[in-house]
Amino acid sequence: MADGQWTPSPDFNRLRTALLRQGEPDRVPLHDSVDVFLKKRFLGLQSADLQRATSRMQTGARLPLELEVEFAYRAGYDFVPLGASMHSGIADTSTVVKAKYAAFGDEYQERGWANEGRGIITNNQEFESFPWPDPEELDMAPFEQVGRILPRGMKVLVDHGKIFTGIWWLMGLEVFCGAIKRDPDLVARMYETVGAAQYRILDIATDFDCVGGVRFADDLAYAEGLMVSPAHLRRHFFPWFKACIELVHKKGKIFVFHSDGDVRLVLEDIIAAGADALHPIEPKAMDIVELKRTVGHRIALCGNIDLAYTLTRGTPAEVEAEVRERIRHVAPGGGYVLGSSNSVPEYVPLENFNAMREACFKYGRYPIALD
Amino acid sequence: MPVTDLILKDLKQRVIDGEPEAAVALAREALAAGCAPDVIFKEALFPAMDEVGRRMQCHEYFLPEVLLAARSMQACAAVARPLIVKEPALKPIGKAVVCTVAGDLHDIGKSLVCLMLEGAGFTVIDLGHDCKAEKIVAAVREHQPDVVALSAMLTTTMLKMKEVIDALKAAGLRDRVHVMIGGAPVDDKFAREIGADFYSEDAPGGSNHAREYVTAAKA
Repeated sequence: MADGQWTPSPDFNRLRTALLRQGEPDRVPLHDSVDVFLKKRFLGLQSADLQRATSRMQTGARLPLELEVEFAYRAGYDFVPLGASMHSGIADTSTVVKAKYAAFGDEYQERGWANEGRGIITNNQEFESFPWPDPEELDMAPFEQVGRILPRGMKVLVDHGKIFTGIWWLMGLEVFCGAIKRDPDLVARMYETVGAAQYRILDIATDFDCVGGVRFADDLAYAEGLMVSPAHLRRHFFPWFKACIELVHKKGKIFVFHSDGDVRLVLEDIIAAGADALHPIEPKAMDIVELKRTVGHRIALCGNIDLAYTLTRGTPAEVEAEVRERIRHVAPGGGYVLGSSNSVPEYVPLENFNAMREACFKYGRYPIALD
Repeated sequence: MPVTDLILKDLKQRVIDGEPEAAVALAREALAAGCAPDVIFKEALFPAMDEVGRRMQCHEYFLPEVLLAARSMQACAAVARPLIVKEPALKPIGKAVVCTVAGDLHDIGKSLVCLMLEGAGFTVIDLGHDCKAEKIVAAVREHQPDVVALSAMLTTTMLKMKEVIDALKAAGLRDRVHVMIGGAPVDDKFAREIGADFYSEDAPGGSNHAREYVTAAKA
């Protein structure tokens, strides 16, 4: 289906209905984090002033707001993502590598990588002297601006989270792992400080009328299982996670939880905390059909179109076939939002990204009638 | 039970528990009590890391526990290994070149594989991350390993694994090494596609397979 044959009809209630499992909306909604580089290609932009930002991991590179909105509108999303996080107030500590990451042409791109060894807060002295950003000082002007230009029916999803991830970024993964046993007080202080700052920022961001919900991203797991023990997460992470969900729900907004990997050891904790939806459900880590059967009546499911093969190395026909199958098995009854099994990075070919969207429009109209 | 056996049993447990200072003190105590350094590896350090790998695979241990145990093992090895340089009793079971491929800075998975291989008795040459094919080929030529283990985190960087295998073929070295791959986006199917010998979903699995491979190859 060509772009011209499909008319955009953003409707946040479509997404909200699916995420809150309130029956079947008019069609399966789309959800993803799409790389700036790919958005530019989609919009046909080439100008030098839209060079992607170097800092990718902590500040969240994005296009100018008008273009973010235009991309979301033309691509068929019901929301525009907008970041609000204490990490945008901290100097980027990632290591940047330049390589040919993209699926297009021969261009080199930069990608930031978290420090897995030693970070910038490794002891109490560094904790005390660290210039912690003040949530009240965070620039929220983009929320005001985007509220003025959103198309009718579209809302903002706040990109937030990174309490667990943010702490190990700051400490360095190895230091963080060591400190769990050898300096538990420092770890507890990190959770209190980062958790409180992120909670306050979430409170500020979700006060904007244009905000319809939150995408809380915190990678707790690898494909083979959790990075740290369930006991650690229950003691330090889940209290903040639950508080954030309660805050968002109190304001009548929705809460999508993103974690890479296999989170089944804490799935009950995620559900009990009140998360509306789980994203992105990597096929290698978890079986979405099994999740739909076992917990699909308690939490909505998002994502699962395979980034490891289909979206990156497959053909558009293979992408279409996978989307069709996913919709056939998981979408009936609602509670499913379609998208990549992680995100749409720069190395996804544009034709595969388009094949995913267009297959969603083609097969995702309710009632689902696929054999 | 002889006193050295008691010390080694305690040492093994301290490594499993991730207590490097206590483990090193016990390693020194074992040596002072007359325990041969190679016995420290065979009776305490290697079995400890086997147990750590087992616990990781059944989700009793997670990254922090594994890293602390591995660091404890390394600290003890640093005490005992210099004493067995001239000792033929503890030959490495094999040699492994390990790295993350070009464009990829994911380190922790690769480091875990290094630690588990070391804990299994391999000599490990850790080339680090962001390694181009030519660097890996040069290392294979120089060190003549039994095993080459490649890691990647991204779908785009995992494609570099094939470039490494092609470069090994071009250099006439492919048949001399057993190539294992691992990392978030790769799987068994991809391993077969690119002509790798083995895919492991985790570090203990890779280490166990490498040990089985060299044991069978040298039998």
